[in-house]
Amino acid sequence: MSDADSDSVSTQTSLAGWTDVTAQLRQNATSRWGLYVIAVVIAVAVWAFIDGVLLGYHFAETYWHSPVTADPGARSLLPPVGITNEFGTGVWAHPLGTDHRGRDILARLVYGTRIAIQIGIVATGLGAAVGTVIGAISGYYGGWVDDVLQRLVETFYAIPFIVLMIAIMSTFGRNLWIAIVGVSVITTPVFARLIRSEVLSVREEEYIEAAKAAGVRDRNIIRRHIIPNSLAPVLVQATLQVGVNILIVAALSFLGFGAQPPTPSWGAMLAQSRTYMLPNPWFSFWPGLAILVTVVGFNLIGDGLRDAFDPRLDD
Amino acid sequence: MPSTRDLTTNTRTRYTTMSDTPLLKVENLKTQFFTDAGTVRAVDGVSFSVERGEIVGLVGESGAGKSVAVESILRLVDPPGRIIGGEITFDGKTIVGFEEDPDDTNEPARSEQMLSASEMRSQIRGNEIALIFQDPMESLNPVFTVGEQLCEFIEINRGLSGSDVRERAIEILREVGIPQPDERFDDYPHQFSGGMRQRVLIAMALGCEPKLIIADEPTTALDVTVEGQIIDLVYDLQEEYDTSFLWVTHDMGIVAEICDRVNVMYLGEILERAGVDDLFYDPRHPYTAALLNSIPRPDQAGELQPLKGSMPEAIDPPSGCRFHDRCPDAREACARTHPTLRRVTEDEQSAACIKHDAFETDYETSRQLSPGGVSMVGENSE
Repeated sequence: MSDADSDSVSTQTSLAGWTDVTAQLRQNATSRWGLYVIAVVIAVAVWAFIDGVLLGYHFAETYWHSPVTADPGARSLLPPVGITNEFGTGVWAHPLGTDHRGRDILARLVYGTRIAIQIGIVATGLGAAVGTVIGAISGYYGGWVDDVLQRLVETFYAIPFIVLMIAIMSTFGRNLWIAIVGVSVITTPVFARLIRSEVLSVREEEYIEAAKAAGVRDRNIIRRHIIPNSLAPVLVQATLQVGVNILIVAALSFLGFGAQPPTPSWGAMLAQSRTYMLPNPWFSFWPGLAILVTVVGFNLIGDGLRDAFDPRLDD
Repeated sequence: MPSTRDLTTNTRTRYTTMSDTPLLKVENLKTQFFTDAGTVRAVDGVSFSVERGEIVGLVGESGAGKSVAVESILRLVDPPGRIIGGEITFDGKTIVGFEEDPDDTNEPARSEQMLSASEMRSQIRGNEIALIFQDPMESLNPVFTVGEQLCEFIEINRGLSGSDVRERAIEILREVGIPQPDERFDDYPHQFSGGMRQRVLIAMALGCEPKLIIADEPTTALDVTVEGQIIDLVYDLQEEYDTSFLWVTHDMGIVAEICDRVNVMYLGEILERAGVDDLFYDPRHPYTAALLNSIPRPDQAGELQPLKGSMPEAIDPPSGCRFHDRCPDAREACARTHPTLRRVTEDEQSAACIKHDAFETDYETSRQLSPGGVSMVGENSE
C-alpha cells in the first residue's frame, strides 16, 4: 500500500504542490536567475507605469531625464559613458548615451519596459485564459463542439501572425489596447490546443466520472475539476509565451505598428536606431539587450517550471 | 436441499419492506456500443431489481457488462455507447423508458415520462443514487482537499450551505471511521492511505443520504484486511441508514459475505439469479457452478477446477447459449437454442439454461401424473 501511495503522489502534477513548485524554482540555479531578472524587470515596468502613465512622467522630468522630450541643449547620439565617437564622449548624465533626438537612452529603456511587460503579460494572460476555456470546453465535450472549436482555432493558427496583427491594427487603429487584444488573439490557439490535449486525458480520470455520478453540473466539472488538473503545462507555456509575445510586440513596434511615438518602446527604439547603426551602434545595442535579457529571463522561469512540474525529474 | 441450507454461514436475516414496486427495477435493458468494428452488445436484455433495504450483488467476470449496466442506470453511458431498449424505474421515476413500437422497425422513441438530462443530474445522481468507485486512488480530485470535495457533493445534493456543510461533512467523516476528522478535513487525497480514501468515498456517497448506493467493485484495489474493514463499515452504515446497495463485483467471497440476492452476469446477460444461500449451495446454472468451483472454499476439499477458456467478445457472441462453448454440461442443442432466464425452484431462483427446460417437461409430466403436485418451474417467459 505504501508503494502505491508514494507512486500516486509522485505522478501528481497538480497545483496542490504549488509551494513545492516555487521551492524547486528557487533551488534550481538557472530558474532562480530567471526569477531575479524578471522580478527586476517587472519592478521597473511597474514604476514606469506609475510615473509614465498615471503621473505623466512627472518624476522623470523633475528629477531625471524625460524619456519623451530631449533635455534642452542635449547632444544627440552620444555613446555610453567613457566612450568617444564622432558625436562626442559619453557623460555620466547619460550613462548609456543619447538617441538621435538627444533623449536619454536609459530613461527610454526604463519607460519602454512598461510596453513590453504590459503587452507581454496582459496579452499572454488574456490569450491563455480564453484559450484555456475554449480548449477545456472543446476537449471535455468532444464531438461536434470539439470539431467546430478546433477548426476555428486552426484557422487562426494558419494565418501568419504578423500579417494577422497588421490586419487587425490597420483595421482598428494603432493603439496599445488593440495591440494587446491582437497579440492575445494570436496567442489563444496555442493554449486552446495545448489544454485540449491535456483535457482529453484528464476527462477520463475516475474523479471526473465520480463528479458526474454525484450530479455536478458540467460547467462546474470543467471549472473545478478539469481546468485545475490540466493547468500545469499551461503555466509553463504561458511563461514561455510571455517571452515570445514580447518579441512579437518588439517586431510590431519595429514595423511601426506598436506603441506610437513619442511613447518609448524597445522595438521602436530598435527601428529608429537603424539609420545610426554605423556611427553609434550603442543606440541599437541597448534595446536589443533589454529584449534579450527579458525574454531569456522568462524562458529560464518557464524551463524551471517545466522541470518542477515533471515528476520524472523529482529528486 | 435442506441439509446444505443448514450449513449457511450468512445467518443474518434482514427484513425488507416489500412495497408494491422495488426501489430499482431494470427490465430488459439493452445498451450497445456502436464501434467501427461493429456493434458491441455490452448489456443485452438484462433484468433485475433492488428492493428497499436490500444488498443485491451483480457478479461476473471482467467484460461481462456489469459496469455498463451501472452506467446505464445513471444514464452515464458515453458515446459510442447508447441505451437502445428496456426500462429502468427508480422509486416511481422513469430513468429509461421507450415508447412501444408496434412495427418493431423504427428505432424506438424515448418515453415522455423519462427524466430529462438535467433532472437526472439534479434529482438522481448523487442525490438518490450514489456511486462508489473501484479505485479510491483515482476517484478523488488531487488538487482539492478531501473536505472541499466532500462539501461540494453535499452542497449540491443536500442544499445545505456555509458552516452547516462543513459540520455535516466532518460528522460523516467521523461516521465512516476517519480519526480526527476535523483535522483530516483539510488534507489532500494523497495524504490518505487507500483504505482511508475508500472511507472518504463512502462518506461522499453517504453524505447525500441516497436511497441507493451502487458500489462498483469498491474493494478490488484494497488489500484483504482493509477490504474486511470496509465491508464491516458498509454493513454497519447500511443498517443505520437503511440504504439499498447494488454491489458490483467479481469476488464471490464478498458476495457470500454481504449480499441478500445475487445476479450472475455473463456476456451482457444474466444467467442466474438467486438468494445468496441458494446460489452458493445449490447453483442451478453451470456457469455459476463453475465459478464456485474455481474459488477455494473451506467446506469443500479437493482440487479447484478453473473455468476453461475466456469470455468471448461481446461484439460477436456465440450462437445459442452464450456460455455453451465453455460449458462443461453443454449439449448439442445449446449451440442452437438461446435459453431465457426462468424460475427453476420454489425460492425464486432463476437460471437461463436449457437443462431446466428438461426439468420443466419432467415436472409437467409429473404434475399430470399426480395432480396437485407442486410445480417447481414457475412462470414461463412472459
